[in-house]
Amino acid sequence: MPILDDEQFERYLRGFRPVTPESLQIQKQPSPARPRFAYLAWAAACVASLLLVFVLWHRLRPAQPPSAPQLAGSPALTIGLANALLARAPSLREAFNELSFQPQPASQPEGKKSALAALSKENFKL
Amino acid sequence: MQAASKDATEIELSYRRYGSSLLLFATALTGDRSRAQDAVHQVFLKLLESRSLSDALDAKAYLFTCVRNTVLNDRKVRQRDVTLDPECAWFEHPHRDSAAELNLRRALWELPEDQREVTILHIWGELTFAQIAEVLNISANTTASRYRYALAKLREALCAKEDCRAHS
Repeated sequence: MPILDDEQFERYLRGFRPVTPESLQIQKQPSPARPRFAYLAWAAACVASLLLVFVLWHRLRPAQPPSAPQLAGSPALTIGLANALLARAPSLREAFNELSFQPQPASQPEGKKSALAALSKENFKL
Repeated sequence: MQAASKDATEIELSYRRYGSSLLLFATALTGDRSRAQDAVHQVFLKLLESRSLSDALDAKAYLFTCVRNTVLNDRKVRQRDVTLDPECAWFEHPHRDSAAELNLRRALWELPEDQREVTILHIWGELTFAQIAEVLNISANTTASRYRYALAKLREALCAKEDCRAHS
């Protein structure tokens, strides 16, 4: 190697090129705006689906029949029940009496009185 | 969004432009190419995440500072002395002269680390003494002084090796 001055020596050194590095393995990240948009779209879709389900459920639900008025608490008179009364009663007359005075259901709507109840409170002067 | 994309492009461009001198700098500090490569990649991947290169006043000096800090941190963690890997070339062989490349690599490795840093930053990193002073956090005069010592030692070492080759 010949004797070189500083400048020549620097030039000689610069003749050596550093090794090229391996390429940078960049995984392209989706931009931050995109996931935000995706989340919003998902949220909107979910809300819309829930709303649709709610509306359809209300429209398609079968209308419930109004509740039937509660009939008498006493069982209806059947042949079986009549037979049982006849067997139990000491006489035929008492059995008929018992059948005649079965309590009647109070089928009057609330706030209204039966005619019989109204008449019973009237004071008739004869 | 466009600014972020612009930042990423700038970072990739910086990698292409300064990658080889940054790798050489890191290799000169670690003695090992794969660790040096890891350090350089780490720096650029962090930059891509934070997009902070555009904030730096002197991007080139900033990159060398980042690589140096990464290497020094890694060295602290490993608690291991650095040794030169003889198989790993630092330079592409000029005129296919692998012996000259090996001589230069050894001569550089024999320099004290502070002088080796300055030499690589000035010759192959093409940083001015002021920029080197900023990277190493020393004065520009100290930088220039270290460089002069290093250059003299390098010349002496390389001439001695060339003479040996000529006589053998």
